[in-house]
Amino acid sequence: MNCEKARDRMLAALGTAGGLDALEDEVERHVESCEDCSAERRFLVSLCAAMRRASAAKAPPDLRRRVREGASRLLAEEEARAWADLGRWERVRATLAYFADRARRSRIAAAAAVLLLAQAALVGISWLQDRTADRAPPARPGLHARSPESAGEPRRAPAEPASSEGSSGSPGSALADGPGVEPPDEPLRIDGIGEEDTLLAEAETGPPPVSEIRRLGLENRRQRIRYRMRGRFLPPEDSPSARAVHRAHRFLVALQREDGAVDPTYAGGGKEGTTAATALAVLAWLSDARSGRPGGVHARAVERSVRYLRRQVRPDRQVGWVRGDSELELFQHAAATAALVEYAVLTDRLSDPLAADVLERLVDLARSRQTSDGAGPDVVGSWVAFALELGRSSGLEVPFDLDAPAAAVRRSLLAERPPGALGLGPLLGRECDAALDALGGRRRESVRRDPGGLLAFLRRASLREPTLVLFTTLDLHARGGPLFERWRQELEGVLLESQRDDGSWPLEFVWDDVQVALGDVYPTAVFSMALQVPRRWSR
Amino acid sequence: MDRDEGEWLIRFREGDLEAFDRLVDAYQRRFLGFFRSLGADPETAEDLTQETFLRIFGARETYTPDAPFRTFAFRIARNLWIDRYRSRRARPAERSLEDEGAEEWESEARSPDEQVAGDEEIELLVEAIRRLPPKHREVLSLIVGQGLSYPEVARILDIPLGTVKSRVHAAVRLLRGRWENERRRASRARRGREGGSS
Repeated sequence: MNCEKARDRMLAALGTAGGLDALEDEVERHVESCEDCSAERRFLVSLCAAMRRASAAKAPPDLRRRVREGASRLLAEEEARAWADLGRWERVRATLAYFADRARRSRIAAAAAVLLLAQAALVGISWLQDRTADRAPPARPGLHARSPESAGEPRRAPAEPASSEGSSGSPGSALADGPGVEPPDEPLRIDGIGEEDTLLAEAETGPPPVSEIRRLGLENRRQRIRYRMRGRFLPPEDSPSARAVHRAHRFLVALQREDGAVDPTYAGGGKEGTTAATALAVLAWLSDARSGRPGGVHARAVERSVRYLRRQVRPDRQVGWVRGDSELELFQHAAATAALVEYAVLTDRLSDPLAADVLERLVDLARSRQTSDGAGPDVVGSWVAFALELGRSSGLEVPFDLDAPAAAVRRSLLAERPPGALGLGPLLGRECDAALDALGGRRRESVRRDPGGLLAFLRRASLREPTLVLFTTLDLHARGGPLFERWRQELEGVLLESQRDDGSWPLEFVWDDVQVALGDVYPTAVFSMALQVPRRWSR
Repeated sequence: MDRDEGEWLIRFREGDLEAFDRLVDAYQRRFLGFFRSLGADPETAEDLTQETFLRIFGARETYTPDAPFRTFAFRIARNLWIDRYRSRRARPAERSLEDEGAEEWESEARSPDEQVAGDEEIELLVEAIRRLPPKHREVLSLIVGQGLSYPEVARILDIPLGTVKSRVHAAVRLLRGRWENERRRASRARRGREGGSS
C-alpha cells in the first residue's frame, strides 16, 4: 500500500455507507503509519463536517402540508384530464363500475341508480352537443385550452431592434428581417438553379415516376437525389404554424455573432454549446423554404454559420472541441455533419469533400459508441443516426449499418409497422418502450395494439424532449395516414401555444449536458424543424 | 426506511397521498440540505424543495420501483436546480480549477484572530465549498453531503463514473490547497503575535 493508493481509497470511501470510519484494514494501517496520509484523513473528516454544516437545514413545520395540498391539486387535475380523455361509452362503463362498487359496499343501490340515470342523461346531452358541433366549422384539437393566438389570430409582434440582418453581428442585437419579415407572396426562386430546378422545387414528393423523370430531365443521379432531398419544400404558406417557424428562425438569427456562430449563452446555454447551437440553427433555417435556402430571407445567416462550422473542422475531421467523453461532443459533431450535408445538398455542392470527411468521421464515432447488441441509441445516438441517414440519402457513402437497432425496435414494438423512411425507429422505439414500461400491465398491451395510446403518452412528454418530438414527427410522417394528421394537429396546438413572444420555446427539462449547453436554442431549433416536417420531408 | 420503502413506492406510484407524505418526511431535510449546499438561501431552498416534491409526484408514473428512489428523486431535484439556475439568465461564468488560484483566496483578508483552528477552519471550508465551480460542488454535495454512492451520482448527473471520480478528486485537491494555505497563514500570524508580545 502506498500513499497514492491509500488516498484513492479514502476518497472512494466517501461514497460508501461507512465513510471514512470503515476504511479497509490495509488502508487503516498505512494511514496510521504515514503522517501525510494521516493529515489527508483529518482533512477529509473536516471536509465531511464542513459539508454537513453547509447542508444544515431545518424543515419548516408546514412544508409537508403545503406539499400535500399541491399533490392533491395535481391528482385532481390528472383525474379530470383522464375523465376528459375517456370516450362516451368508457365514461358510462366507468360510472357503472364506480356505482356498482359503491352499491356493493354501502348498499345504496337506489341512490346509485338515480345518479346513474343522471349520468346517462348528461351523456345524452353531451352527445347531442357533439352532433351540433359537428355541423359547425371544426375546431382544431389541442392539449390545452387554446389561446386566441393559436386559434389563428396573430400574436403580438416580438420586440426587436430594427436592424438589417447583415448590419450587425453582435449577439443579442436581434437581427430583424425588416420589411421582409412577412412571408413573401411569390414562390421561392433558387439562385443558380434553372427552370428545371424550380419545377423540382415545386414538385410533390415520392420517387418520381418514369414519365416525370423524362419530363423534368432527371436523367442523372445527382438530379434525382436533389429531387428527393428537397422533399416537398412547398411554396410559402401563411399559416399560424409557418408564422411560428418564422418567429423561431428570427430568434436564432438574433443570437448570431459576427463570426457566424450562434451564441447559446444569450439563450440560457453555455459557451461550450456554440458549435452545436450553430449547427442546429443551420438545420432549422434550412428546413424552411423561405428562410434558409439560397434566396431565402435568412440565406446570409446560413452562409455565415456554415462558414463558421467549416472553420470548426479539426485536422482529424471532427467538428468543434474534443474532450473525449462527452455526449455534447458527439452531439455537436452529428448536428454539424447533418447541417453541412444538408447545406451541400441544397446548394448543389454534393462533391464538397468536407461534408464527406465529417460524415466519415461520424461513422467512426458511431461505430465506437454502438453497443454490442447493436441497439440502445439515446437522444444523441438518434442525432447520429439522423446525420448518417441524411448523408446516405444524399448519395454519400455511409458504411454503417443502422438496420440492427432498427430491427430491434421492429421486434420489440412495431413488428407489423416498419420504421420510418429515415430509419429513425431506434429513438422512437426506445422511448416507446420506456413509455410502455411506465404504463405497465394491461395498458402496455393495449398500447401495443393501439398507437393512439402511444400518442397520448407522447403528447404528455412532448415539450420535455424536443428530439423525441422531431423524430416522432418524422417517423409518423413517414407512416402517413390519419395517425400523423392527428399528431400534427396536436403538436401544432401545443407548440403554438407555448411559443414565447420572442419566437423561442423554453427548455422544459434537462436530461444531460446537451440541453445545459444549448439552452433555449435546442427546443427552438428542434421544434421549428418538427413543425416543418410535412413541408420539408418526403414520405 | 429501506424495509418499507418498496411498499410505499408502489403505493406512491398509484397516487396514494399517505405514502407520498412518508416520502416527504423522509426526504425533506435531505433536499433542503442539498439545495443549501448548492448555494441556495433558506427561502429558495424551501421553495425548491416543495417544487421538487411536486415534480416527483407529477412524474411518479415514470418511476420504476426496481430502481433506487433516491436516484430518481435527486435527479429531479438537480434538474430543478439547473432550471432555477438557468432562469436567472445572466449565468455566472464558471471558474475553472486553474482560475481558482491561491492568490484570490489569499486576497480575502481575515484578521488573525479568525484564523485559529477547529470551528473556524470548518467555516473556511464551508466557504470554500460554496466557491467551488458548480459541477464540482454538486458532485461533492451529493457524495459527501447526501451520502450517495459514486454510481448513483453518475446516474443522477448522467455522466460517466470516471467523470464523477475525477470531479471529486479535483474538488478535494482544490479545497485541500486552500485549507493548507489558510493553516500556514494562521500559523504565521500566531508566530508574529508571539514574537510581538515577547
